[in-house]
Amino acid sequence: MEHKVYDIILSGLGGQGILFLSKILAEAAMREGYLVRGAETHGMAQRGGSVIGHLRIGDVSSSLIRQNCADCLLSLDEIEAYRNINYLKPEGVLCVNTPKEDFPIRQVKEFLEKKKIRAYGFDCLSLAIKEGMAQSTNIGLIGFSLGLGFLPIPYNQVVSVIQDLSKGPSKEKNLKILEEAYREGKRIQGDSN
Amino acid sequence: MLGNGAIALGLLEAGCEVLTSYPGTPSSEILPEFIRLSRLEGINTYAEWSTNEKVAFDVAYAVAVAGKRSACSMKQVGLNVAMDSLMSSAYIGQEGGFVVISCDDPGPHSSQTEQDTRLVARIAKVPVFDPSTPQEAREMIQEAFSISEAFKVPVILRPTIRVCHGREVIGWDQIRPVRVPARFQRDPNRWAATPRFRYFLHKGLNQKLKEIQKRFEEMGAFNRHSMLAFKDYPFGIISSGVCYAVVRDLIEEFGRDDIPVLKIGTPFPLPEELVREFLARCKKVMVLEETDSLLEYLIGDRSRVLGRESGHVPREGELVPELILRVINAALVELGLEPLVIEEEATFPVQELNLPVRKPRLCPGCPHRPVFYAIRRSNPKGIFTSDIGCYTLGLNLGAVDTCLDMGAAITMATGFYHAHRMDQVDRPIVATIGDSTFFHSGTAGLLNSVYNDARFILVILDNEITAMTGMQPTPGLGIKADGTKGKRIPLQDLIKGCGVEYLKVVDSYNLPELISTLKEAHEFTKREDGGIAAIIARHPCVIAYRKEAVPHPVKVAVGEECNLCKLCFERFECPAISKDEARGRAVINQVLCVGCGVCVHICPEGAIKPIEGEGNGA
Ligand code: SF4
Ligand code: SF4
Repeated sequence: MEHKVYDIILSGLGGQGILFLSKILAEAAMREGYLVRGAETHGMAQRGGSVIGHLRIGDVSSSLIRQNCADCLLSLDEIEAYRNINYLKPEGVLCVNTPKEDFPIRQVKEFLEKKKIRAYGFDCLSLAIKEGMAQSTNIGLIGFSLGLGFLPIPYNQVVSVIQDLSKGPSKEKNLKILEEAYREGKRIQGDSN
Repeated sequence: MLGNGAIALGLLEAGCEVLTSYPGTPSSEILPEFIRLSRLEGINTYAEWSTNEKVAFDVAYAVAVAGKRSACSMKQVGLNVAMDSLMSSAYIGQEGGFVVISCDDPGPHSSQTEQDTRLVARIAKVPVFDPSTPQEAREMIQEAFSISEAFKVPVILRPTIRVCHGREVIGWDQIRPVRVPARFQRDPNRWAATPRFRYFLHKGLNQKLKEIQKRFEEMGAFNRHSMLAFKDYPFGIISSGVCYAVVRDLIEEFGRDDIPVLKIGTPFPLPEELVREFLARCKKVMVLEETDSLLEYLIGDRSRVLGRESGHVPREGELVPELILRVINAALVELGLEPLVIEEEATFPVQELNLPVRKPRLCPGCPHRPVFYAIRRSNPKGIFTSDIGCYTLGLNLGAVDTCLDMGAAITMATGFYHAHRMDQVDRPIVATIGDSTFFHSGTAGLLNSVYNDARFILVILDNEITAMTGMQPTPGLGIKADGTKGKRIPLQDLIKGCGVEYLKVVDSYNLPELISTLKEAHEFTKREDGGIAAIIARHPCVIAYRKEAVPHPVKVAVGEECNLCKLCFERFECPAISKDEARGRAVINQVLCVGCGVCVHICPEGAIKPIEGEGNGA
């Protein structure tokens, strides 16, 4: 039997909104009719320390992803991305919120190339700040990943989840951040093709 | 749904009418979910945040003694606090079903120890269920209640953090409300049994365990193996809890039906028949369980069991999937069998990158920060005892020396005082404890210190919430678990009631006043007629109450007077301040900064200043 599951590792720092990010993706995957399992971090680790979340889309028993098995790693922080880099499987995708032009750092480049891991960086924070919504950096990262087109979830499904989950005036802003980041992802994807 | 939500759902489906709890990771979400789902389904239940786990245990236990189904939930170290009650209630039993949910934390991710509640169940002689997934936890609760009711014995459900904070798709049909009238039947011989009767109760409990064991043998839903009939195997795995879910995924992923797996969902009392049958047909058996060894001890056969005792499985830390893969693989190789993977995928030597350690820190604008800063400033040679909560992170400000368990800030300060006083050594001692922790177990220690004339400064960090575990209300706030109004118990009254004569309340953001009050308090502890000096440092948590905590945000910036002494981002450690490499001075991250304005008072050069015209930096 083929092992059919899509594994996502989410990383960042406590307070950056990993829980919400994971909730949006899980909800969207569920609406697409997938089974979903996740492992979240609560408690002490939420106070600014390294935080990691696991999200498994498909029919599995355990909520934890094994090292070398994640299809993608979405990170709200560049350093945390490197810390968790060994979760990625060969030909996986690394997608990071970073202002740096020269992402990823030289030391990991060769490793990523050897493992055929594609790495993409985008300054989601600046985009979110532009809308006055620094706390929505996570939405930017989702949009960017969706634009790159590797997630098994369609863009429209995420739009409808955000419409349902975010409240008040932030809703419009979130959708705008999502869309702009999505377009950026698409653009980069177009360039590399 | 979160695993803790699935547990709450299971409780309601089982007709549990009352749930009590004290928050603690990873158990904290069970009670709020119980309240939310009760409302959603229109079911009449009662739920409370009790002041501590022993209180929670006793309240729920009495409900079951009166005939209703009830439960209490807590984290594993919380069960230690309720241990006295658990031990005795196992003997006495109850009428209605009574389930104790104690959540373990292999890792540990957010706990003082990696203790295993299943071992506690063995000590107390009560049955325990060990779920592998949220859905299974929900199902086990139904069985747990029927066993508890049939045998009139408390039953423990032991989910681990990956079950509690696991997310899974879970649906449910409308829940049928159950209502059992409360009817306490007087029977002092049972409910107040004297030691003479306890012998018979103990005997009765042992008898019950025998019968429960028989029931567990037949509980195929939770105890089952994957062996084919009439076949022997060179190697098999016995597993329980989250480890089982991982093992199952591995067996499936690598297509290894030749490795049979025995899942044990009820580790105590152990379904021995089932285990014997499995052992009889496997040459060697590996035991994978969290957090400690229970199955391995109960099985006993050291000649054939590979586990922690034989050195095949690590004795500490979480058994994460890559680790489980590695230990199974090593065992297969050792036994000359086909391994799961021949060659492990190359990994990147992450340690070589020397990534900075991102330890947890107090939030920007956290009211605890100025208090720790002031404590450290005014008593650099002091002994700083502290306690369990966000404020344990006062460690980073050099104002926390000890953190033992709930309430120990006060009791340890007392010990330190007497130890030094005996030797005529005068060392200032400052104990810090949060409001919720003080309500949990501060008063007994404080009464003792006052009574025995200990001298130290007690600082109660009153942020008006139980912050670390996810913002639960406290008695000081006077709001109950369901959000309705309860009776407010002012901390001041409580502290005075313990016999403390010196008590001051200071706003935690007011650094100058904190420092002068700490000085005054110190003088009081040294006076002939002095004693314990208590200070309530009060300011709302910025995460729970952003508006109330910073009603007038102060926009601050670092001027050119800055000589990069690093005090503001290293000693004071506000996460919103960092080093601006290019300009060679400190810089404020305006996104992270909440505008508390405290840093203005700490900069020795006066370089951190409110920006004119933006907010009023009063
Ligand atoms: S959650 Fe509140 S109490 Fe805890 S560190 Fe943050 S501001 Fe301080
Ligand atoms: S005002 Fe100063 S201390 Fe307060 S959050 Fe901002 S940078 Fe940190």
